[in-house]
Amino acid sequence: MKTIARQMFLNELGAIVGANHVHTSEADRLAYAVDAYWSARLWIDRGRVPELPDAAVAPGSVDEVAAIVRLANVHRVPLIPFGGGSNSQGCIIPVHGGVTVDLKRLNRIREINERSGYVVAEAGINGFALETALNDRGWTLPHYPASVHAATLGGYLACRGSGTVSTKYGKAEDLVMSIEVVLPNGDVMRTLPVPNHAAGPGILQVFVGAEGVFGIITEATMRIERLPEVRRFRSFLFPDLAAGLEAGRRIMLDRLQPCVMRLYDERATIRTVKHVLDAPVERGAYMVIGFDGFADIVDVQERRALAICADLGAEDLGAAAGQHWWDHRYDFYFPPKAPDLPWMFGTLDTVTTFDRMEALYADKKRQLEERFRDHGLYYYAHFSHWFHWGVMVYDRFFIEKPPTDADEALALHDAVWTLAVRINLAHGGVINEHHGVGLKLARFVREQFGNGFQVLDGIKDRIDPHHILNPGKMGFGAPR
Amino acid sequence: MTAASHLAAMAADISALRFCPMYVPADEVAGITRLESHTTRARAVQMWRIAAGHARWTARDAAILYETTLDSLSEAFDVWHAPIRRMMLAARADIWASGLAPPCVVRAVGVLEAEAVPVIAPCETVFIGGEAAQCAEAGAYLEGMAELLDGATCLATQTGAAACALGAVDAARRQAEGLRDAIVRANPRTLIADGPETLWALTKLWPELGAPLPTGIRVVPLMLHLARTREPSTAIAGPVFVHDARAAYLLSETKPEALIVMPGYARQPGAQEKACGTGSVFDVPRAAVAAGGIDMVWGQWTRGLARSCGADDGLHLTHPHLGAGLARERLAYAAGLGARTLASDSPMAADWLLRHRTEVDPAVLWLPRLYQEAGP
Repeated sequence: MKTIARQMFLNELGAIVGANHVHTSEADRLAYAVDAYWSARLWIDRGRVPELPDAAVAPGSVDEVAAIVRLANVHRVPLIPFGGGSNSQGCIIPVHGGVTVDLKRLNRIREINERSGYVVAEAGINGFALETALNDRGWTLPHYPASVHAATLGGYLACRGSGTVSTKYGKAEDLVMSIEVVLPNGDVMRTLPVPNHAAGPGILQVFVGAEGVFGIITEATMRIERLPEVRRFRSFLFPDLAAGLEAGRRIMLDRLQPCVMRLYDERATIRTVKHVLDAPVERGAYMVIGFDGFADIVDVQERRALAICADLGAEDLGAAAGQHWWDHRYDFYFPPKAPDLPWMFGTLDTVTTFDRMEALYADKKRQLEERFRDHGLYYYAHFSHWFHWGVMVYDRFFIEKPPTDADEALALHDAVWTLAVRINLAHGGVINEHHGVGLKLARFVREQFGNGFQVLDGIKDRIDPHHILNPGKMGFGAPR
Repeated sequence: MTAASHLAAMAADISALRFCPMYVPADEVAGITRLESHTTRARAVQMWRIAAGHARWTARDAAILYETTLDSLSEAFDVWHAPIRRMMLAARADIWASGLAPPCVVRAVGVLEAEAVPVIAPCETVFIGGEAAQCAEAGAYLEGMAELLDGATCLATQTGAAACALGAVDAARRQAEGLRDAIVRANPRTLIADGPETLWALTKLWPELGAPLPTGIRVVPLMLHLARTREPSTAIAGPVFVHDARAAYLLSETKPEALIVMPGYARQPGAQEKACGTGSVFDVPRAAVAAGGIDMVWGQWTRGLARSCGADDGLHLTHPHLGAGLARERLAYAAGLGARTLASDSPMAADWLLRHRTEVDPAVLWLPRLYQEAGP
């Protein structure tokens, strides 16, 4: 956009939200240009300037969001929704410029309905602020991602996030009942009031996980739960990963409903559990299992889980070790324990069925470490979101001395990802389980869906013909 | 200016914070403005770029550094307690030294520097109103104090804490040295500090600035002195929420534990409060309230994790509208906890909160008033 036209556009934005909510300085725009995506961080680390938005705007109501979208359509300006900025996939990177729409002023709780167990809140509310308000009433939104202190409700849903207790309570997409969304033409739409029905296809789930390419989520109704009477945790040390995976499978198929079940492979047991928690473990596969709810029910669940673990040769490390893990579970994500530049690292998480997981894990570990041996790549994993049919592997690669040159480093990074994602797909997995697609994985979306992508393509072309919303993501290209 | 000395020396520490989103709950000003550049993470990114020589300070960068607090709350919230406050202070020192400080900061430092160093007549005890000197009506916090302190010499005077917070380290040093020399000439045995920031300045900051007090002079916080010598009044409307000044974190014996800010737990009255930090700086004010048998309420943002009242780190001097926003947030927080009174041992905090209190907010009490009201 040329100078005069740009300024006129900014003036119009200011007329919608107030001039003090339109930010154009480089310092402000830089703050909106980087999330937790490694490649964007690399760019900064090597002294480069990433793609900046032309401006950032902070609407205070759904009507203001709608007006911004309508204005952007007139001027064909890309819009990038922004929540807490904690995404690891580059969802918020303004690859085609445009205006970042910071939703954090939409932070009101509309209703806490204790009779039916749901909360209605605006999408920009901080996850921890929402949780605290619920906790004060004896309720919880059982979604405790590592990013809970930073992420927003809208971000949870836009990326289909997962939390520490999702094995029992479900992921963000399971907890959502309905949403309000601003469509790419500026219309404000509400999905059906209930999530389960036979009233036609579920439009709700078209927008959940779409990372803003189909619309901007402005409000959500979420299922909530009463705070549990008890929470109990216990740690185990299995002789090897296979035994731990089998224990987890049996616990899930027996419907014992653990809220937490986190199994570390042998290397992660040493590298992370021992390192961060200072746990006295030298071998084997560490597992933490937690149950919550009424004490008498937890008694039964815990007893049966203990029996399964014992049957598979696990050493019971006790409740104190399990509680210690729970109390320090976020420590892994603060500096200096969290991995950081100049290292290259990435979380390759995927999900598949129990019968395929061991092969997927073993093949990925072997191929990555062989192919990138010259770069010193190493790999480890934990398994932390379990379903009754399968499990998610949260696996990471690390290269401690990547190339100094940013272009070379990025090429190596993307080569690692290409191999890892293709292995995920070849073994019946998906390109991601709970971090989202973003810029990082956008190039694999068409490959993943195959001819199914035409469904998404058709929706996009119909409702956002100019590709204004979050262009460059989810397999869609530049604005038109 | 690119990689100036103070900030460059901290580049390695800043590096680890650059992209960590975990500090959002501690991003107090960002909590009001909802502006991403006010977050700890964004500030760290930019400070690191400058320290590493990848960027130059712009006027907007400098403004952002002053629009936020020195971030001891982010430091407290960090499970590893990275020295975030020192990073910010280093950045401000560099900005000040380079002449890039925003006009509001230059004006504030000018006002602070214009205050004359007091002359103190020889005496046994001097009450140092370092925080009172930053209040709109400093005299209000000296009124009756001489009587309460058995004839102590009472004065409201700059300690250098405010100038230091604004990055004007040389001005802070001059103020510290001037006051230190006046105290030495008066030769008292005891200094009584009016609040946590003054206590921190006299005992921690002055040695760092190269102006330590002589070893024979004892420094005692006002609340502790009163607790040892008098009985508090019980005429206070409970429940009470005790607000800890930002400087209290700098004097705490143990830092907050991460456990206190976990999602998914009901707040148990008082049960976990000490997980937010320990030390007499927190315990003495609470003991004064408890001595009257008055109920107290607590929230997660207390003790070392106390959110700003808006009068910290020079924010009330340079950006009063942001400081006012923080004050309103703090009062609303206390109200949300069910408090009828917000009490603080910091005159600066009490004064600022009182100025921004509305009739729906809890009453605001400077805790030494408990002893004044009780009489001799």
